[in-house]
Amino acid sequence: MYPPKFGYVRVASLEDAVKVLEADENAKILAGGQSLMPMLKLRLIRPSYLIDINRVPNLSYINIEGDKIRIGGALVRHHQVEINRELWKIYPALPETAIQIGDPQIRNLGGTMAGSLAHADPAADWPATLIALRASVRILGPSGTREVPVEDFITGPFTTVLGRGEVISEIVIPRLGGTVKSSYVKLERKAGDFAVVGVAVMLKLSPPDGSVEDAGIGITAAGGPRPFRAREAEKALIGRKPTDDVIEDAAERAMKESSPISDIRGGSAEYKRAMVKVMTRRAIKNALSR
Amino acid sequence: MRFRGDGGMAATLKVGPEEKVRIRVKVNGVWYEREVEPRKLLVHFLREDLGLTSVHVGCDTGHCGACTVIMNGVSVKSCQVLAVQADGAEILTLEGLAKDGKLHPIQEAFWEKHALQCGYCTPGFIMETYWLLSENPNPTEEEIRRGGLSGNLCRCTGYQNIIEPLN
Repeated sequence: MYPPKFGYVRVASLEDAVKVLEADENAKILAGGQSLMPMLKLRLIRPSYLIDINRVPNLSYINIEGDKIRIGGALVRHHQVEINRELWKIYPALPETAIQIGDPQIRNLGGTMAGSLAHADPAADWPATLIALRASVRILGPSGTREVPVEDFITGPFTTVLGRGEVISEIVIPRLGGTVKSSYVKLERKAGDFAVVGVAVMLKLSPPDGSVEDAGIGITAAGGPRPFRAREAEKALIGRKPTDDVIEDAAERAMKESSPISDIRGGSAEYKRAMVKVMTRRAIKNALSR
Repeated sequence: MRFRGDGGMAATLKVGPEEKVRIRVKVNGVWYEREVEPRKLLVHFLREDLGLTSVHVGCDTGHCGACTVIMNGVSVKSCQVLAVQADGAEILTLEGLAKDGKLHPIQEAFWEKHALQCGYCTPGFIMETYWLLSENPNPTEEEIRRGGLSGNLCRCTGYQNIIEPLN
């Protein structure tokens, strides 16, 4: 399969990419290209130009600061997150998500966190984890920068709030102090596949009695048109000790909040709803076991 | 990032859909300079322009790993990369493994353990093994199966014998 014909622009800065995108609405950014190449080959998209940002300096940093983690630039590959020892300590859900995406070749040079968000596949892994961790997306556009929570960034299947001329410049993850645990659990049909259901959990525990002070739950592939935050399930945990009964209640609520659709990625809506409950329970228990 | 430091390559560039781009790529130790369409995939560049036919086109959708090559030290699926992205890069294909008529130890091990049936997936498996061992010289069987080689498919289903040479 050959991609359709397109022009090629290699830019030296994100600002230049913004200028090209602003002038030509059919141009598209080439970051890792691991979703873009299949879309091109299947002729699902026919961009006028590909804007290659791979030679823009300083687009692949992971900066761990006191109160936040900045995953910087549009070129942080899944593999970089996977091998970052600090992230395994702070938010294991992040590298745990990375290692469950695609396969080594896809993660190595290809897939990027920003690209995955911008592509907004409804069964992508990152949105669940980034929603649970209350991350936001920094966007660079013709009129400057703005910041949007990941939860609001994806508006539907393959659709985001990115407007004409806008690109993702950074992903910002707040760091909660104290005892924080996290996990991402994914049900997939085969190694490296998209999620049938994916659930990410973040729990902040209060030291005296181990009760849950704050909770974040993000779910992918089961929200109908987009990944979602399971607010009712979070509420079921907050202020309580995470006993089996409390966990069961939260998992039940997550299931009720979900609205999966039947499709070829994992079967019937009914099955997926049942799996939301199972995966939520497992994600909470896995996080607590750390 | 391993992508940088590719000295001499144009930092900015613009070519139209009907134009060609001049790229310079170091493949198996030799620099090649060719003109390619922006849409040309790396796998087609390696096979058709340079005649390196060990790089197989299997599924053509990024699943099977038959087109795996090493690009700037990491394994990639060359059907998911544009040739123009490899401008300035160093690439290693199966043809570059044997030295002075002597097979690479990984090739020897695959031979020794009969790690192939039809052989179509073999170059991809060997190149992925090359990358895996460069990252992790002593992988556990779990690391080989779940991590290292999970992006390569063998439709003869001879996985047992493909894992063997790595142990």
